[in-house]
Amino acid sequence: MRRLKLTDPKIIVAGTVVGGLIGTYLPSVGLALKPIGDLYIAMLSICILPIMMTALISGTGEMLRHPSLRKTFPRFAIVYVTTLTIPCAVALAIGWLIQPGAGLSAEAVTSLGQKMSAAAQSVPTPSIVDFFIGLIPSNIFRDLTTNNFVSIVVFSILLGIGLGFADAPACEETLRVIRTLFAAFSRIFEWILAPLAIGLLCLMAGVTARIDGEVFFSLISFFIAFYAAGLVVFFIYTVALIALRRIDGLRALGGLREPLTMSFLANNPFIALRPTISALVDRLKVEDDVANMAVPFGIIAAQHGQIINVILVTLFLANLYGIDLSPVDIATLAIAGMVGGTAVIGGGATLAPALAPILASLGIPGDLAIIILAASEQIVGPLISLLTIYAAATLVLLGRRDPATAAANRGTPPQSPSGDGA
Amino acid sequence: MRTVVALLTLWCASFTLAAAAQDYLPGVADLVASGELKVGVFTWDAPPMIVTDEDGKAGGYDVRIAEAIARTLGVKLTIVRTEKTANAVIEQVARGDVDIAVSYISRTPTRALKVLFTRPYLSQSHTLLLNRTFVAQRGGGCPTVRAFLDEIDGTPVGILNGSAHVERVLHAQPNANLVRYDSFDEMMQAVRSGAVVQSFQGEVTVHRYLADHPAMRVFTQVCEFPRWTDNIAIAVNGRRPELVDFLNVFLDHVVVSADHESTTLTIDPWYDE
Repeated sequence: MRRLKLTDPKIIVAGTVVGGLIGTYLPSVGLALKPIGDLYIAMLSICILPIMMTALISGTGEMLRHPSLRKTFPRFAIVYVTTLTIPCAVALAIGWLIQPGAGLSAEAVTSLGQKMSAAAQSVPTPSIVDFFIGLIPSNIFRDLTTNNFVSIVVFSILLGIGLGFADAPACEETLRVIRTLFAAFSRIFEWILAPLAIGLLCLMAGVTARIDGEVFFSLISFFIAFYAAGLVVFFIYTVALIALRRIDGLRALGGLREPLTMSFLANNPFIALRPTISALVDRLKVEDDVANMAVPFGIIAAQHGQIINVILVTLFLANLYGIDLSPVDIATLAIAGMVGGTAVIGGGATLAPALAPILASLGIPGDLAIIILAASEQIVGPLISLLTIYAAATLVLLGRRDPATAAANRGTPPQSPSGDGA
Repeated sequence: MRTVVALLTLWCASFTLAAAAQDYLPGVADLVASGELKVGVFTWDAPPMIVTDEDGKAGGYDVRIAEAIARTLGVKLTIVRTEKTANAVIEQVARGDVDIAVSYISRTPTRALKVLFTRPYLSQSHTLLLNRTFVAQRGGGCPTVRAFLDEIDGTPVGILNGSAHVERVLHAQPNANLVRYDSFDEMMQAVRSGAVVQSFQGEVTVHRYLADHPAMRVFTQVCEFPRWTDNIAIAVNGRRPELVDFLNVFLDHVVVSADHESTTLTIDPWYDE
């Protein structure tokens, strides 16, 4: 009962608002609380990697060992690729409509220039070959110690596929062990999650105290374009889920309220990994193997907010420097935005290495990009996290089979992997 | 009280120096006897070396150095700001209209045919200011000196009229496509707008300009040629070789250092005010 109170979305929002007010009106207190917030986020991160790996391995393996679930793989692939085009098209349209970098005031440009004075370094421009080599888990132990999430996901899916197809009696046992580990890590995560509202209060107090007002106002058009694009994408997914009868009306989406709120307020989609799986399995009746496989994959590879971010930062810079993009440039940006936006983990300046080759290919100066990414992280990051969770949930809901058919084929009602029951 | 003592000391010292001037070396004796040091400084501002305050009075590092020289010689300082370019100031020194020029003057072989030079009191890199869009569309990065010289055979480069940089660039690349500007500010704004994609100048003024105009950093990028140095020195009238010796010894007490973000001047306190 006590845990439910502190993780209730209303309490989380209240805690975040109080934290924001502390950071705004008592910045010294906000800065003092920030380490506590960081400590809490670090504690939440303890189980994220184990949950992600065990969910992916067991989810993929179980799906492939189950003949009827195996058939859904092509469907997931089609849904995944198709949905990538939606944030891309919306961001291009909104960027064309709003022109986020056009007509910046002299004060706004000066404010950005002052930030460049402090960080007068060129954005690194890795080659596209290096980028793809980095996705291959050539040394999984190194990738685990360096938190190379994309490689870890590729490795986990490959291991899941191996266990799914291997013709050895111990495979079932191995998958059961991994599934047990997943349940154990999930339980630990839930314990740590209990004081979420307090952790977010401290985190938000520190974040608000550090927001740079001058840079915020110089990027206001960019923020408007980003939130407009994000909300349009959210709306399109919601309409698609209802129109395609993947959820039982708008009210059913309330089941995702907790993970969506959590990811938005914590500015971190990984924290909402376990709650998203639980919400899909318990409230939206998704098969647990499907959720275990598709949600971690979606959180890594369906970062639709990042796609919007990459495209709008590029359009902002093109506007600012007065560069007209040709139809070929737009097509290049669309494809590169989908690839670059989904293959990067983390927000802010960590996106710069993916953005640099795109900007270079379009002949757009890139040094300002790292300033914009770093300065906008606290503003756009929450919506990126929320869209990542919503896109992962949409992938699961659109990719899964009809719930009734699924239950009939398996002969059992859907169950929560943690054994909590639906 | 300490100020009064210092002023009295200087006043006494000036009498002593004037009385002793007849024992001085020829190129210095008549200058000290005249009681005045005329220093040429060009009319445009080159912060932080040369600036003009709200009352129109000249200031900056070069003027501070000139003040310290006059104080050491025990003579009155007269700043003469009538010439618009460094080349014109050199002609002014050569004619003897002024005794010396402390005016962000670069030493060049051509100028050394007309005036004497002290040893450099500042060594700076030659620097390119490039339009960022031009850099991005060219593939990014800074050119080498060789690549720059090859490129300006066709691509225009902005340059300040009457500066030593004109001579330097034309010596290294006779076919250089130079776009000459009479004002440093006009040249900087031309690079920002893309009217000229690059300009060539010393590092001190360009870094200071970017610090004073942060918006320029958004549209322009600095590339330095650290091994292509520009030595700044005091120009002295050819009839005063002994004054050059005196100034070289005086410069032992002056340090001007430039880096990417700022330029600093240090004069030993007993020569400074």
